[in-house]
Amino acid sequence: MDWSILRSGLRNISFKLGGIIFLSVVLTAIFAPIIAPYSYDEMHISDRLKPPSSKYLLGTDQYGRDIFSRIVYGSRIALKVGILVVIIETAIGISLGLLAGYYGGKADKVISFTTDVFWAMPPLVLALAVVTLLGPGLMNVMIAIAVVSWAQFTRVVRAKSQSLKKMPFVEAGKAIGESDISIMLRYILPNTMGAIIVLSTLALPSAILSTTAMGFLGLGAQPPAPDWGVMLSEGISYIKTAPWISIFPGLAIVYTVLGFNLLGEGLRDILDPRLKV
Amino acid sequence: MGDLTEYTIKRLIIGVFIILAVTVILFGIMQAMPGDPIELLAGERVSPEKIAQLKAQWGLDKPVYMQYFYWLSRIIRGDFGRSMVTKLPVIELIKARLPYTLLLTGSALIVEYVIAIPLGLLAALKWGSKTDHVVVTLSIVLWSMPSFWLGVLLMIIFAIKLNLLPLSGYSGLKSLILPLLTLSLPSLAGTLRLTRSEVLEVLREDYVLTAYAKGLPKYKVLIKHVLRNALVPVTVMFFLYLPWLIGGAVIVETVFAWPGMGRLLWKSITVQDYPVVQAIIFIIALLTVISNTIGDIVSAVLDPRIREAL
Repeated sequence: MDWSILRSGLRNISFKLGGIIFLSVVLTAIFAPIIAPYSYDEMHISDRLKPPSSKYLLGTDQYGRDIFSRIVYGSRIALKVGILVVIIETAIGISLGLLAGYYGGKADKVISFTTDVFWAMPPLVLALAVVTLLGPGLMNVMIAIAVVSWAQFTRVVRAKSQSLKKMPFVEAGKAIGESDISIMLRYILPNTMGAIIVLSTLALPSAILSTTAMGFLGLGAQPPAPDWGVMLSEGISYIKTAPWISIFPGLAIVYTVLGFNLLGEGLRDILDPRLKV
Repeated sequence: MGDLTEYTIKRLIIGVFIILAVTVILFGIMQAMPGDPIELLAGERVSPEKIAQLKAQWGLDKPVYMQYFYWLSRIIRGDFGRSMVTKLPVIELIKARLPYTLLLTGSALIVEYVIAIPLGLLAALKWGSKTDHVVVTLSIVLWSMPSFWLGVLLMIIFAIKLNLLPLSGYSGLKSLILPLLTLSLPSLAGTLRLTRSEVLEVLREDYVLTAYAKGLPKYKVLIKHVLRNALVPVTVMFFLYLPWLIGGAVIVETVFAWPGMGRLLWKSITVQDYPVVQAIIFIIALLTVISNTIGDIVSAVLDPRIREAL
């Protein structure tokens, strides 16, 4: 571990702020049962549609469920989804990028064309097509979002491995008889890590935005799951009388996504300033 | 101009191939869908002979690749079949809604550029100042907002509390304002930051320094050298953003019950009306590839260096 990175990180405001938000979301998810005063599906029939009060911090919904508790438990869904989606898309993106960049030739042509095709579609629309095929549900939405968003990883890793494979240390590896796979994994991959870390930190918030959007459209997590997008869409029918049902879950999304975006931006400034768009 | 023509032709061929690849993917998805389209359409009480006859009529007794070509030749003629729910021709359903989607996304794109370019320019010229920080922070906050939440918030403020604008649906241009803002505000962050970083980059170029050194007035340098060069990628982005906005329109149209194609897509997915879903996704893909191709060609016209990249 290079401590100078951490030190310059602490001087970077967006990294610091993003890091604090990130930690707060992770801690909320871990300690949800301790933080939340009620469980996420506990109904208080006599307290339906109550505005925020000391008993229900952020009010209650149409079933008398405590919105604050539901948001707290919802952080578990958001984090789980974000992390899993990023793992799947980095796995696809990195392996295709390494193959295309390292081997070049036909493999590169096929992979690059596939990347172009996926790049050519608005991700949300393509994800909707995949969800139509697989059917609604949180797991299917995660697969759909990962399937449509790996292309950015492939592009970056491909470009990096193209230039890295001409480096002397890769030539040296070949000369001592290392296999292609070992060169890709032990010589090239570690040198693309900075870019991959930055890209995946920025892919996390967009995965959370997309899955909550799917939940909002009724295609992702299904009620009574305390998914923030689902909660928001449930509140729309009560928007005139009980706007808090929709407002607070949305705030939770903005808080989390903003935190991860700041963290990602900060990391990019520190690790790889050239990636800046 | 020879290399430009060559580039344009190459780019158009690639565009056609990408569209073909998209049709293969869409056809594959439809093949993988549960249920036999004929049995779904004909119902259970139709005799096996009748089903075989229908299959022959639709070409469904042929091998899969033949079916693909039949299907492709039908959609090229604009025949997307009939909706499984309303039984109306899919193309009629789409024709009625596409103008609303284009109105929404087109005006959102214009609003986005009108706000984003001056702000981006301002931030770049005042680089490192308080103004710059405020603009950049604002853009990250907007970027982090889910459009469905922003839409609900605007509804609560302008339609319910202040009662200034219609809540949802389409009832004249007044009802365009809220969906328009909901669609353009979160996405203007991208254009803003692109303008900012491009202007910053051009400001450091030698020819800008030379122009200053020659004693040209500041505004002339800004317009003639800085903006002209910095806006090349920003112009190209205009074409690349259109499809993203159409994607975003699915959510915004659903929030505001806007009578466009995006809402039709959402409704068709929820009732599993596959022919409609397939047709809309194909049209969005087509629009995307067309605007990407235009974007690439425009950038080649504006910047000769790009022509050599293909």
